[in-house]
Amino acid sequence: MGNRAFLITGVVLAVAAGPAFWDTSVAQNNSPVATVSSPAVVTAAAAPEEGIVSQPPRVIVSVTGFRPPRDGAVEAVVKAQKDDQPEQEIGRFGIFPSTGFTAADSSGARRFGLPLPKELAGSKALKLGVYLVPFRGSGEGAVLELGGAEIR
Amino acid sequence: MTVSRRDVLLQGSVIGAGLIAANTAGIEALAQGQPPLRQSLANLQLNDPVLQAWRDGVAQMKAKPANDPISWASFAAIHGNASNFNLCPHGNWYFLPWHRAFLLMYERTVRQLTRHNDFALPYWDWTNNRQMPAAFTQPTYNGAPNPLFEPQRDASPTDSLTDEIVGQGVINTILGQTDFETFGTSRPRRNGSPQDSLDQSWINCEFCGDSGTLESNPHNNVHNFVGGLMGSSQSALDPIFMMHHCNIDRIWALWNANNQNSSDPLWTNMTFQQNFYNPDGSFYSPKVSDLYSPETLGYTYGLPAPAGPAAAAPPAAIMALNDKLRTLFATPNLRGGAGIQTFAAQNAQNATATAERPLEIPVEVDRSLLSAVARHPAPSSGNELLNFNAAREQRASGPRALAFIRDIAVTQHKNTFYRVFIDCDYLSQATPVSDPHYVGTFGIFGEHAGHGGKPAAAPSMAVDLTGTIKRLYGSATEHSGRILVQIQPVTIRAKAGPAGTAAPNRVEVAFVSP
Repeated sequence: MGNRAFLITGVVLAVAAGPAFWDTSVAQNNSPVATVSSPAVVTAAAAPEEGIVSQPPRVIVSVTGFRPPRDGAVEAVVKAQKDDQPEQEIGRFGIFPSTGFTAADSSGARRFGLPLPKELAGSKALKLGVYLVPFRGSGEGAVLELGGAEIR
Repeated sequence: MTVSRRDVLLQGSVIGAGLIAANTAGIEALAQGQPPLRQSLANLQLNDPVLQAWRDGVAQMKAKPANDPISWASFAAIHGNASNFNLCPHGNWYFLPWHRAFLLMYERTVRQLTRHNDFALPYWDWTNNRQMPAAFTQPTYNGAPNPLFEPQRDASPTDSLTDEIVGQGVINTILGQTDFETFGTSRPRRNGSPQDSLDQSWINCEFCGDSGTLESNPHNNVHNFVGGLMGSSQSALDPIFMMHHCNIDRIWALWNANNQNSSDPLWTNMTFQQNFYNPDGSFYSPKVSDLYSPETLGYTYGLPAPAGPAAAAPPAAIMALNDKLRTLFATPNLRGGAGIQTFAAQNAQNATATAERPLEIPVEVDRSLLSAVARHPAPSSGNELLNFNAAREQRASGPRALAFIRDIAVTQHKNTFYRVFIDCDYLSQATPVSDPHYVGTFGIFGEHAGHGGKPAAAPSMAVDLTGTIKRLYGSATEHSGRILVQIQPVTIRAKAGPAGTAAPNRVEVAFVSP
């Protein structure tokens, strides 16, 4: 099945399942699901080198599902934490189009590359908090599900 | 000398004219037929000719049936439909070049539909203008439905984008990336394997790459900020789409000033086969490497030349023209020189152009020089084959006529467009810019009233008469030895009061021969 067909299926599934598709009650610490009231928390580990291109170090965040808010619009704010140091923002992304989708596995995920600041560049592992932040309206009802994250 | 992108920088809302004193390089570009400048919407008044052309073009395209390939609905369907994206790549390293070609399709179509060859899409610089541009938020314009208004948008006219989405810090981070795939989204992967061929399926492999800094945040979030159709896969139905993407395209061009695109043949050699239309309804199928430089595509942002190997020296015809223009600009009142002849008329009576009474200054010229300009075959615009370099060289190879309107004293200039015509015996405020006698429009920016004990600044303007002369006199058997240069002030905002005035000190007409 092509990636496009896969995504279409995902969207249809999400729409068909409606509000119960994600159990938002699990959105708490160390959960891969973010809502406006609770961030998703995952650990990004350094990926094995693929030998394709030489790029500056960055974090790749994989999003396997999204449900848009009932009210307003949201963006995802990604914060990284190394060891016991304070969390720091490393970037933001939006989901466009703002329509629901879900991917059954990581190959259908949408991936966002965020460059790492110098002080985090050599890290083998980082704790990531992904926050859903409304920039219009309350953002209530928005859900973002992560499939994982890695450092490249 | 070489012609850089900076050379083509023209004044804000000027079409077919250029300010001399501060911007002689811009005049050179104008005289050479450099591509039109894409401008910020913030520089354009609601009745600016550029905005009016966009309004007219959108209205004409919307009026066409969806089964007409050159229609608003047909173009938007290339991007996406109600359920999904169609041919456009997102989350994929073809995101930037594909959308550049998509915008170009609109720009060329509007030029053709409105017969406004100077038209270039304006951009919404959301970093400096956080709210929706006014031209797009009002349901009506001049009492008629506004084709740029879209009722389904979620953003109100007073909603503002935040620093976190479009602030200078965000832009600095984006421009600070040195790798194309980090900046502009990475190569696609399918089932874990990276792209390995030029098969068309890799183009619209949606979200198969890692979205780069430009696409992830300002691109996606501005779409969602506007909301309604703009937040959906049907976003190209909203006329603000092109202004948003024009700014994305501008940031790519800005990034290219210091950074090089991917050199991977899987990127550079990909052809977007039958994804886009030419204005005549045939397919436009550019390769990614065809889309590197805005100037070769018929528009410019007036940015520095891109990074990378030095650009090839311009053709001899353009270099020769540049030399002559340099001489001309550097020497006001120049009577003649190699390949240059000028004819001047003093505004001895200090006559003033007003809205009710345009200023007319007759300039006696050499009839044979005027004939040479009129009869030289009109060069190609370059639009037909998108070969703007060849068209520019062709233009530089023919004789040209330029008018220098010097030392202009103005009043109420902030509320005035100054339109220039030649030999129009029915000229009034109502004469449209589509009239064959029209040459160009200039505006005067900044303070020119001589505040603080300083003398009043009197700017000078140059306009290229070549096209108008060919249009008016190309088929005439005899030519007069006189050109009547006319200035017609027009109010920008009627509510802000009447149009101002203009009184130049002198007008010179220069003929430049190859």
